[in-house]
Amino acid sequence: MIDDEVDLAEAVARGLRREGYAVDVSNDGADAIDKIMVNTYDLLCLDITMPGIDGREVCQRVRAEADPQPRILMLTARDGLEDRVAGLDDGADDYLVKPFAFPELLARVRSLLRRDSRAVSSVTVVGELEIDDARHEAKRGTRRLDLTAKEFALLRYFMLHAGEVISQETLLEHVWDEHADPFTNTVRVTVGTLRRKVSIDDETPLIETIIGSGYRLLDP
Amino acid sequence: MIDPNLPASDDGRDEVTIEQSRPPSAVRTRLHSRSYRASSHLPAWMGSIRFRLTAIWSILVFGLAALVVGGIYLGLQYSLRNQKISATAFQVGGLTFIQPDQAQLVQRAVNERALDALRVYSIWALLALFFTSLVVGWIVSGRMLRPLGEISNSVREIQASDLKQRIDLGGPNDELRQLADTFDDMLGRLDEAFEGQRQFIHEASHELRNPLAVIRTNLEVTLSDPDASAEDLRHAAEVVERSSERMARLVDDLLVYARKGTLSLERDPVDVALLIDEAAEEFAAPASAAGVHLVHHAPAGLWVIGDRLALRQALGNLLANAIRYSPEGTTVRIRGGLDGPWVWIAVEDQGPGIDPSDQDRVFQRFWRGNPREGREQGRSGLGLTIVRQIAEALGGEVKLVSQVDHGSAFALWLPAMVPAEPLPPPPPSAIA
Repeated sequence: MIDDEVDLAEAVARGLRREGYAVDVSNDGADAIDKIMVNTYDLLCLDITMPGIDGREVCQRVRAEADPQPRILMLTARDGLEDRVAGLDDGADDYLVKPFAFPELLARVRSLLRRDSRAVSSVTVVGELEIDDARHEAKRGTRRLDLTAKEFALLRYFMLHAGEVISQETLLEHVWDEHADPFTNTVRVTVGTLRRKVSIDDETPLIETIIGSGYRLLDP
Repeated sequence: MIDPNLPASDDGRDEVTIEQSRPPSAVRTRLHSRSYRASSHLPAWMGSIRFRLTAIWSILVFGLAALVVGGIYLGLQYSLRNQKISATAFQVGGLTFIQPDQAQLVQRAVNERALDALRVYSIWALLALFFTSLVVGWIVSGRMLRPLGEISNSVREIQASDLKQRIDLGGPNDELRQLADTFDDMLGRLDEAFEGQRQFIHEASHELRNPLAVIRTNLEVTLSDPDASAEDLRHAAEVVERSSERMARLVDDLLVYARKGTLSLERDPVDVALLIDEAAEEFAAPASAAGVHLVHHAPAGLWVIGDRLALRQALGNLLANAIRYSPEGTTVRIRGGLDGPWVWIAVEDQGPGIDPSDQDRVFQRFWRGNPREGREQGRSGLGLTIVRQIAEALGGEVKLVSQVDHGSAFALWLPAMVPAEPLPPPPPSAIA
């Protein structure tokens, strides 16, 4: 979340974190570029008007240099046609005019994040598992799963990358934010509790551990 | 005899009562009342300038021709009637016979007939002339007035939303062309004014949207959280308070800016020394709170013509800026002086100065040196714009001299008021 309005950036980050996203906040362009070059992000919420390096420049730099490419949602108070065209031409994936309704921001974030996965709506299904991102519900078959925000986010990430081997570092980067301590076993612990909630009693375990490389959600 | 106690005219009073009972659109009704009156008795085309021109022209031609022809006829008649007919008198017996000259009698009869014929032909010719001149006048005046129709057609087509169109009347540089060009100039000015207004509204709404977004998002995020703690709510309330304060200040400045742009300022003699004294007094407390020395000096006898409140505001904006950017322990100086026909009031600080590349931009609307810091302090980015607006409205200007790391000096230059009695020369310290 990149915006020079500290109060706005913090509020958006708070709301996104509550939805289970890992959010880093940056209040100017230069700091944002530093972070983008070091970490990998799935999505940037980018304000256009910032002192120094503005949002459009950040966008151009990211499009030219970042790898892998994040999705970019531009936030701006300018709603002129030229502004929108320029923003999208700079490489933004979507555009939201301030002041926005927070549910709309969430919907756009969800829509952008599932673009390169197989999901076509807020409901994602992998085998018996089903999550509804918009309603924050997870089910295995008909059984509702009672997950914490972090567990939900973890399951969502697994399901969007079903069948792939995902390393602990990747999870730390995409499900936890920059303040997470890379030396704790928080990822292992959360994966453990998620695994226990997904497969109770004698159900088939769905999340397997690939020793030495990470975890994988079985994709039937 | 007119009774002084009676209203000057009963008609006048009737008209007043009619006017009062008219709907609010009375002005428009009055503008059209003339044509309504004409059209109630005459067909509409008779009320046109074309018809009136034709009628006046034909009547004039007819009248002049009638004068000439009538003059010729009367002159001829007179000279012919007064022609003496010679006669010979002779006596036969005791009687005297007068024998008129037969040839002259015949000639006279011929002349009489010719005069009759002249009268008849003249009347026919005059009638023919009258109708010809009606036709010719109608055609000619139509041609002359055609540009007027073009002008009114184009003006009718130009809407307030599209002031880019021009009448652009071709043809010789005559009165109508000048009228069209005057309209075009006016349209140009209107277009500029509307464009400026649009731009301003665009910028202002952009400025207002940012704090609105902060408020809205904070409220939505906090209120949608069923587990929000009292501390979370308190934090949201604080953010809302900060943002609404910022909006209030922005709206205040926007109003000042908009008002100064439209309302004319007062034109009263203003004592510059008093102005500086008052401003220094007003800012003494903020200056000492910021640890800045405020020094002021203004020679007596400096007068400008202007709006006292507006000048106070301009000086106040400059002072607030200077104090804000001054490091602790430095000095802010307000001085005034006279330079030729100009009075200047300068506010100098020993702050960080302004980068040369920014010196032109400081007067731009919504420009802030450091946007984030500026917003946190709740500044609108309109302060110096308002200063410039006031200075220019009073026929002066505002100038900036600044050196990075050495400070800035903003000076208001205003036309000096020509004093009734000669001024004592300003003390040299004021100019130095």
